[in-house]
Amino acid sequence: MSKLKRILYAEDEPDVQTVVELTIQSMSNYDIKICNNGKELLETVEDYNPDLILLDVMMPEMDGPTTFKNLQENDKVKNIPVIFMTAKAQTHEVENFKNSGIIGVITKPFDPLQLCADIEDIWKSKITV
Amino acid sequence: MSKIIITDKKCVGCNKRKGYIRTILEHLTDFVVVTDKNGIIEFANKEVQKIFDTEKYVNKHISKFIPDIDIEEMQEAVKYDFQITKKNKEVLFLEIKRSAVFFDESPLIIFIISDVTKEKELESLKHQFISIISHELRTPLTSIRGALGLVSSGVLGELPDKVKELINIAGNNSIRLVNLINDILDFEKIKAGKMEFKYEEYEIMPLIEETVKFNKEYAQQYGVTYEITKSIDNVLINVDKDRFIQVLTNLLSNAAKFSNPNEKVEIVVERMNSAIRTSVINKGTGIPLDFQTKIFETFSQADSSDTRSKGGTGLGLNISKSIVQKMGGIIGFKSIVDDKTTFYFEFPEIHKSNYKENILICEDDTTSAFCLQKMFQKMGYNVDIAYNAKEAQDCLLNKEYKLMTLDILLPDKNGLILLDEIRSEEKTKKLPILIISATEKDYLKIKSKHGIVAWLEKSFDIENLEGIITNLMSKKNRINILHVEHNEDVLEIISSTLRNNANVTKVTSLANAEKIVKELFYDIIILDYRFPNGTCENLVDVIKESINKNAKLIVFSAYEINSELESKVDLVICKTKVSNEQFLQNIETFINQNKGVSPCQN
Repeated sequence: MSKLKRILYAEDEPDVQTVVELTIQSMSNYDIKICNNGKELLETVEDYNPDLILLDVMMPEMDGPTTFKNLQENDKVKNIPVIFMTAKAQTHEVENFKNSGIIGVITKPFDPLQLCADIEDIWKSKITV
Repeated sequence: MSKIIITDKKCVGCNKRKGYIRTILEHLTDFVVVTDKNGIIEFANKEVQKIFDTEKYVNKHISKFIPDIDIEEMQEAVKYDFQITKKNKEVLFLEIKRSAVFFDESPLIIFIISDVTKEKELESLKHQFISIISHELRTPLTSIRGALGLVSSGVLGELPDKVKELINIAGNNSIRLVNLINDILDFEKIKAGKMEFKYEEYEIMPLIEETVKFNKEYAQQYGVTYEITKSIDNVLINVDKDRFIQVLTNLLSNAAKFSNPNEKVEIVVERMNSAIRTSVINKGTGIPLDFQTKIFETFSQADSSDTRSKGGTGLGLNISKSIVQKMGGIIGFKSIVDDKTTFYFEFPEIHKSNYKENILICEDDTTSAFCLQKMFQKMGYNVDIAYNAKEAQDCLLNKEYKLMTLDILLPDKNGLILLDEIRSEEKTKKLPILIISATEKDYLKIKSKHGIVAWLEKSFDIENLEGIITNLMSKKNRINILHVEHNEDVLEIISSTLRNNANVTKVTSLANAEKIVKELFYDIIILDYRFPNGTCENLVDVIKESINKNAKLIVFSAYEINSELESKVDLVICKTKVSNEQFLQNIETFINQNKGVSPCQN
């Protein structure tokens, strides 16, 4: 099993970006890089070569599900596991993706003390299979 | 409206009076359409032109203007919503109220139609508004919640006590706000019928254990602990997992909130009659008597000052109730002031389905065989067809069958002789057999002689067939109930709750019911009183003359029952006076009293 080290995160809200970045930095040893939307993430993903991608669902320019579809179409990155971050009310919208490579969903607002543990749990449970 | 017309009748010949009433009708802002019993328009006020796009509507059928209108059950009073598209592509939402009156002894159907397009638009705007607002509120809350949580955890540096206390207050309140928004969104979704349910079969205990574990920390802030004191293994229920957890979480958090400090909240899971009941029991102040009737209403907490001290929107139980009901369960409570309060919910236990069991059709007519095959396949069975007695006997020798249908008129052998032979074999001695196309007299003869056999006329329909099949294959200790009710929702609710300890045959029309009571034995027959084409009185007489004359009869009605009918039946339950839950309880008590009274088939 590969170890989780690098996370690439797409999120359009600067405040949420900061909170997630600070949380990951202070609660774990992961490296995190942040993109402002899905489009930016697609441009960055090959260079950064992350172990895991975190995707916000609603974003301008390109939303989470569209970004995910694009990732799937690129052979170089299609095997990188993806976690959606979304408001509870929208979890049903991403349910359909669960069978096609999404390894989990983290609901917003998240508990910062739990965030890294949740990511770790999803990573462990899905990657070992 | 019916009153105006009746007045009109009394004033026949009084032209001025007629003109007066006509003027009122013509100038109503609602649309009024009167048809005969077949739906042919006799009168409509001029306003109607606005929605019908024509002046020529008299003597035409109403469905020409309002497509899909239900003309089958015209004489029943109902209210429903409709959508029509006018010639100019304008879409209108209409609310139609339909009622029936008699004028000169012939029935008239009165439609009062209101244009509710504006209201519908407003409603949809409201939903949009709420969902946008909720999303927009949530985004800043994600930052607030995250930032406060991170600061108060101390990972960014220790805080002075007073600062920490204030940060905690802010943090807890941001969580409260998140829960509030979630509640409001759920509430809106349920009201708009947009809440989705993803049903799957789950074992109940792991769901409960997971939820209890997840809520442990929440209870700790009230000094309360959760303990599962009674559990039940290997029981399956069919629910949406997330929604189930949501309901239990709501009951658990309520129990913790309203417990005396340092108390234990008990979780009890047990079998209750036909269902699996999960109870959450706490010790606290209890629910004041005058508040008990309002507990499931919206925005309710017993003391509004409590809302502040205990937190919560007052929507939780209302949402829980809707969710439980949508998933085919029931929810309720018992409370003793200053002592124990129990909230419980129940879901029917799921038994592994009988898919892929075999059924043999012995029938020489290919069309009938094909028709039966389709019906059984639709019900989830594997089907083999034998076109003569020889083939049937080969099949029976080589395979296990759950049931067989038998046509008496076979090309190579008399069906009755075949039946004798089948019964003389050890393997098929007790095979349930459905005889098709015999006469009733034959049937009674066969029945007494050949064990589990049912009889069916050749002109059957699937509604009857399904009931017969379940009835026929049922174990002897299960009770057979026939439920005759034209409201399909009511049928569904009752049967899903009773199906675990009784076989329920659902029938929606009096005609089908009359057929079926002559064919099959039932222990209990539940009857709606009023049907679109009459009342159940005639059916009761038919039952009393039939093989079911000893069945217990229950009338479940929204109307007052006359004493003659009341004397013929065993129990009358008034729809308006009891809730569905109470009704079910009544029926269950009744079933329990009657358990084992009459073994159903043989």
